[in-house]
Amino acid sequence: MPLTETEIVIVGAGASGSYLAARLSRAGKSVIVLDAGPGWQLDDLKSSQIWARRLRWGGPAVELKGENPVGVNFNAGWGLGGAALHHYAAWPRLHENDFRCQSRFGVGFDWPISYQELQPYYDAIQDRVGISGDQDQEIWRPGGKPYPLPPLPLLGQGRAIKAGFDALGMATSPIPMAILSRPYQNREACILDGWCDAGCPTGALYNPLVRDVPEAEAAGAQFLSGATVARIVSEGKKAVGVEYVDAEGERHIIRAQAIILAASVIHNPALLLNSATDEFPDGLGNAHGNVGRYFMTHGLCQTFGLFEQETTPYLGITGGELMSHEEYAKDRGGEAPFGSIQWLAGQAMKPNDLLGIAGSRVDLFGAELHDFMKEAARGLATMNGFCEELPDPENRIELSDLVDHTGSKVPRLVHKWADNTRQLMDFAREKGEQIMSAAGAGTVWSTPTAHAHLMGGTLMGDDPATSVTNSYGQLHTHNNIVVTGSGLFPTGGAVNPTFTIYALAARTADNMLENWAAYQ
Amino acid sequence: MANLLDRRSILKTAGLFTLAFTIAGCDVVTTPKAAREQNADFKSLSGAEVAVLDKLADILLPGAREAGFAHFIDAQVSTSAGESLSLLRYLDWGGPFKTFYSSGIAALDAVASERHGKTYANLTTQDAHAIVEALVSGVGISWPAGAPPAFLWYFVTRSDAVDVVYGTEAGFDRLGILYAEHILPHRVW
Repeated sequence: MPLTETEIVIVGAGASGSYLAARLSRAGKSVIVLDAGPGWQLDDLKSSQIWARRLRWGGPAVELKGENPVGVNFNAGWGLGGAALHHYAAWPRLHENDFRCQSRFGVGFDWPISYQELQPYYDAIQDRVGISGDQDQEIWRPGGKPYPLPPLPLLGQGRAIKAGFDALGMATSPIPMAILSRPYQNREACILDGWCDAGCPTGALYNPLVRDVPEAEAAGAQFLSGATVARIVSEGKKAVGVEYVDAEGERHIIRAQAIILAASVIHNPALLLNSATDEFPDGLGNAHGNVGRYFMTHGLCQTFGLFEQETTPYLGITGGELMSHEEYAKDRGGEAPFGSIQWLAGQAMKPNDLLGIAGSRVDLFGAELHDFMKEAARGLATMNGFCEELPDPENRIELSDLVDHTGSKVPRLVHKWADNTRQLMDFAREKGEQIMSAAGAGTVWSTPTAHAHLMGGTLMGDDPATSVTNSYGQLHTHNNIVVTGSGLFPTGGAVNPTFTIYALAARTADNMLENWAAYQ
Repeated sequence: MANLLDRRSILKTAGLFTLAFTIAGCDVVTTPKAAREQNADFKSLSGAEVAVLDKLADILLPGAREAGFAHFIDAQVSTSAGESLSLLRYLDWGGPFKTFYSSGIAALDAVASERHGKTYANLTTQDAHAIVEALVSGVGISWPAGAPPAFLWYFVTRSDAVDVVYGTEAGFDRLGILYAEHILPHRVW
């Protein structure tokens, strides 16, 4: 079996994998990044909702089980850039209470770090990426540096829906976006054409191909595409490398001093479980049975309204224009249901695809659908309520009995909504329809509850009995295996996770470089 | 808007909405609409399956048949899941995509046969419409066990119809809205 040696091998070339490759290689570390999918370049990002589907997970299907299965493919990435290549770039920060759920509310877990400890990393990342926003209008925003760029403008949808929030006395702000409202660091500003979901080839929307991958490659990091990691090779409490299968089906081993798992919320724990040894028969890092446990998502309530005025729903930003955290306080003054809600409004919609105009009324077909398309292309508006789901050990990633082309067992994702989360989603749906009606929409409706974002499964914490890693992502049992991504989140709040993923990766990068011996 | 369009024209690298098809034994790159008009070969679907899809296209979204609905589906089931552009890819479907469509087509034919003693392709427009209505509502339909769930199958094929009719520059034009591309795909799908 061909053998290669490096200091650091990274599994997965998404947000954290590409960022860490850049940081670590620039500091002089030798880095190899393995990714199962294609090696995309910016000019592969075609403006088409049909072609956008190439960017979603295209490997072996995850087995979905449980009373309320959660789809993986739409949320996951496929190839260089990972899910961050097609993410919508809404980058709010978690709130201080999100880090202290157990101590302040008696539910879920506390994070092993506070907001204040993570704040400098949020600040550093926002300058690196170039976030557009308005910290003054964002009255719920926890402390931090002002945004480096002014907010993106409100367009037709945002203006229409804002009237509803205003009428109900609910404050709004522009969404903080990892999208340039002005030229920044040799990148051009966004032209608001609504193709974010298909991947932004101009670099106005930050994705790993914009800066992280080029920086890493310039510093000598190697990115290998079509490379599916089958297992972590370990000796006792040390990982010594990974075994992977290339696009031609040939097996290889890369020996490394440190292994970074940046595959995904689903595939990181699956890889740990698939790497069991005689000493760790239940998988690496799984001495207490926590690997894969406490998977979380956000309940998603999508509300639509048809307006008399033109809303130009096909233009703007896929992630939306307008944000409100007026329902973010978790305990609602003691009134059930518990949990945060984030409103994002004014998502750009193209005619086709899962979140497109036609998808807002899946009951319509034939001539009725043609009529609706004409009316909706003129005056449709939409908003999403993101609802917090608390960690539950029964929501989990485990291994199925199916085997992939590498011989590894494919992941199985088991999920059920708790009664509290159902109530929170009902609350959000009712409130969303009130807002849309107050905005003056002639017809208002909501789609059945869905989900967005994948989190948990490899929780970080101080106690090895209740968590998988420490606050830097190091396994409690193997200090040279580092887990990254939103799988580390002990609780998920209600905000989009990508900003926090980058902030945690920045903190891990600093620690790896300052304390390299602790990762040996 | 003028600046926006100027910038796009710089970014634009290709303007064709085309696919690779085999017509009269020759591999050609053309639009699905033209492929249909020129009787391009189907790689995976049988003639009977194409007939059902043609009828279904007329019901789901008039114009979808002419826009290449059946050729679109044929192209997506003739490649790997990692290469496919079908919406089915988003929905975590674990089995072969060809099986998804073929077993759904067979189920549709079974319902048509039970109700009217005919294949779906030979139903009147009214009867074909009524079956799709039943797929949507889930009421009054005996969908065969073993086929993909009825609503899921409707949802995916409806999406295919919307893709070919409205997911292209021509579709945007039909709605009177700006396509506003950064980079157009070199072929449709």
